[in-house]
Amino acid sequence: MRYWLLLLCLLSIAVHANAVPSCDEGPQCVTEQQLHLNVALGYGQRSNPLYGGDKLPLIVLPDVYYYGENWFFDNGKLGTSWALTEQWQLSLIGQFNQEKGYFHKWFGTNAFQLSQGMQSSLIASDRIGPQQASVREVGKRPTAFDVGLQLNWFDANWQLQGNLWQDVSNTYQGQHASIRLGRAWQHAYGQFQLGASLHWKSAKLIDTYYGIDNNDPFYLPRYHGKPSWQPELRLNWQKPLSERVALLAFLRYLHLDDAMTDSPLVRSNNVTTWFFGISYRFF
Amino acid sequence: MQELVLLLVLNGVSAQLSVPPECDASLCWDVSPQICITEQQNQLCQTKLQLHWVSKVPLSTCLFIADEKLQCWHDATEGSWQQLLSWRNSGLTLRSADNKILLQTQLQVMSRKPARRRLSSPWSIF
Repeated sequence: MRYWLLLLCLLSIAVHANAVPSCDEGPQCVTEQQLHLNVALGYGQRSNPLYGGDKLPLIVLPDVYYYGENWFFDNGKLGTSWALTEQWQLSLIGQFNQEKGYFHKWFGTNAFQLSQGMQSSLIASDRIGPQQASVREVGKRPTAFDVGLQLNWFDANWQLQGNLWQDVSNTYQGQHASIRLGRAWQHAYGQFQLGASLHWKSAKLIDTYYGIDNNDPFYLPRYHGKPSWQPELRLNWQKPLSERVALLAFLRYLHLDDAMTDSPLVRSNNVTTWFFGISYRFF
Repeated sequence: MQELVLLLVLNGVSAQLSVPPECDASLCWDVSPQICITEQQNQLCQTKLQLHWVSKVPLSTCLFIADEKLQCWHDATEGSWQQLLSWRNSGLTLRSADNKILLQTQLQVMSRKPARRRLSSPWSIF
């Protein structure tokens, strides 16, 4: 409850927030008070690092954002911003925690994707191994909502971003944080964006989603979560073909450390995501 | 609708151009509008630009927007000009025959919805 009071307090302050830094031109610039909707059609895949977890085929991708005077919505992230200086910006943000997406096919934005045939359900007599556990064998993982702070630093081509999140839905009762350095290039072959991130996830978060305790079946091996460090690389490419149509591709590699791979649920030490398609800007 | 200009001008739109008020100098002009407000960032301002200049001595002058010549006068003590133009932030100048700037005014285009930085990466849902 105290987190919600803090959120309401900060939102009320936001009414008096300074104007945010302006942006000259480029894909990183958005027009205020205008809904932006891009939809990409193509093919790609996000791997699932869990035993029994389905790969997520990427067919239709949305890119939705709206920036008002005092608040913004950007691909599931809701927030309000303060300009600290011309280059530094602080935001109070909230979004659903993404961890559940590996466990539940229809969680959040996964729902945009076409269903891949369910793999044969695993039951106790069809174990994948004595030291492993399938997502279909463990109890339901919770839907969590996080609130946090985001600090951005902008340059003409570089961007630095730090995030600190706290669970405010009283589910995993932990935190996670990340720092990201990104660079953008304009090239004859299109616009490129390269980003390197480092994520930290608290023991409570890892334990809630990847731990196995007495809420799970007795025959599964037990695991108590530890804090996890996860580096990530991401490359985006976009080649405008007209004012509204563009070719689009992205590649993302997320590395999972021992805190994740020691879990009986986790079979892979990485999550890879790729997509290639064509996008159309509706607004 | 891209070129739509929502609101025009903050400087003396009048039906008839008159002699610039309070002109004590030997050469004065009245330019209108000098500020144009567009709906979106980076939109052109498309509006009728009008001006009137007066001089105490006859002059041969030319009117420029940025480096584009719009109109010339020969041995005149006053001149008027108006035209529908699409313009961005640029300088309007009245120059002598030897290209010396006699008068200049900065035309400004401001947007009602300024652009700002996006705070998430594109397609960051996945």
